[in-house]
Amino acid sequence: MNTTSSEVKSIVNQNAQTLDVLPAEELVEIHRRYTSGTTTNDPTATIKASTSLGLVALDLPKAQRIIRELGLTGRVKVVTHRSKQYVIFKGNPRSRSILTGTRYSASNPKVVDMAIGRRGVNKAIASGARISIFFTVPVNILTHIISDDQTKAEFLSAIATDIAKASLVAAIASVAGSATAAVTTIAAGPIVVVIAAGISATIGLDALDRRFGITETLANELQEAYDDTVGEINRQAAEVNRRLKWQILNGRPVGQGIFY
Amino acid sequence: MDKRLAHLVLLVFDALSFWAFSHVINRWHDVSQSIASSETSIELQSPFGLYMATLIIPIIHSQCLVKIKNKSIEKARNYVISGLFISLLLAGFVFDHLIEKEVTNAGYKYCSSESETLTFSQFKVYAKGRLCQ
Repeated sequence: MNTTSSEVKSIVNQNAQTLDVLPAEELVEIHRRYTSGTTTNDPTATIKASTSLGLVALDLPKAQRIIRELGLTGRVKVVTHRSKQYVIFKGNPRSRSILTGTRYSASNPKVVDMAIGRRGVNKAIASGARISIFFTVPVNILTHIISDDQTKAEFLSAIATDIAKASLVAAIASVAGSATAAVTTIAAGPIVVVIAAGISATIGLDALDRRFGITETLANELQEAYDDTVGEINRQAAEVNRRLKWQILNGRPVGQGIFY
Repeated sequence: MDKRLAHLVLLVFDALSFWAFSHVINRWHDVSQSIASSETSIELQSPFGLYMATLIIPIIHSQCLVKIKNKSIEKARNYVISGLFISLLLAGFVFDHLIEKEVTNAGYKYCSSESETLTFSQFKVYAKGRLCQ
């Protein structure tokens, strides 16, 4: 019977069997995983999930403040007079405690602070983005400290993408909020749109990140760049060290072929 | 922002929010199909149902186009909008809970080693009939 080497290979491949030799403890651990479904308890996942929910919750009091001050039916109108923007509040001013006037400049601190009008909405978004960066960077540092297998490249790429995501979300929410402020008379309308657009943009960007592996690719690129620069210097230094040791042990002129 | 441009921008957001809503429904359908075909693993993003909250954008936008002169109707409309927004937020969380329950009830087990946590969301992998890697 004549069988060529490729045929033999294909026959062997078709009947390939894998035999894993495992220590008893590992086998018990695998059985535990298989039956319980979970492998390890990841505390960082809980921390990150709580942070994200906390950030969403931070935006809600702004909408609540507007509703408390102006009521659910509170209406505002933004008008431009002699190239200056004004916010006109409809309804009885006596029922309000902070915005007791009927017309304010769009840049009035009271109006901006309440996240009303384009400027107010943008200020609220900027502070939201700042807070999310202030939250996510320490959370990433904590994750890096707790996690055993996260490399420095992964840590740096996670911070970089988180900041990029926060900025993008702020930009998207700002466009949606400004557009709503320009057309609606509902005082709480723009901030509600900002919250909705912000939440969806955040979830969407995470989904895109996961789908295209942006953070992972960035981590790999950083690792490669590190290997090509610092790693290469370390390898060269180790090589010089090894050759110098060999020259000393074998009584050869030290440094020959390396330094001279 | 110019009113015409604002409406155009909001139209884009309207389209995106309808797409997001249909994406949520499609995902639910996909998960049900995966369960029916006994796939070895199912990945769920959490929170995912909050995409539904974007439906408030076309609702607010559409009410900007309609001028209501009757104050009591306007008041009622604003109450409805606020109620809808809160309901959509709650529906998002309920949706996540329901879809997770559907997967675990089908015998799938949470596999934390294959799951990933990104900045604001978690990608949970559920496995059935195989080991978690």
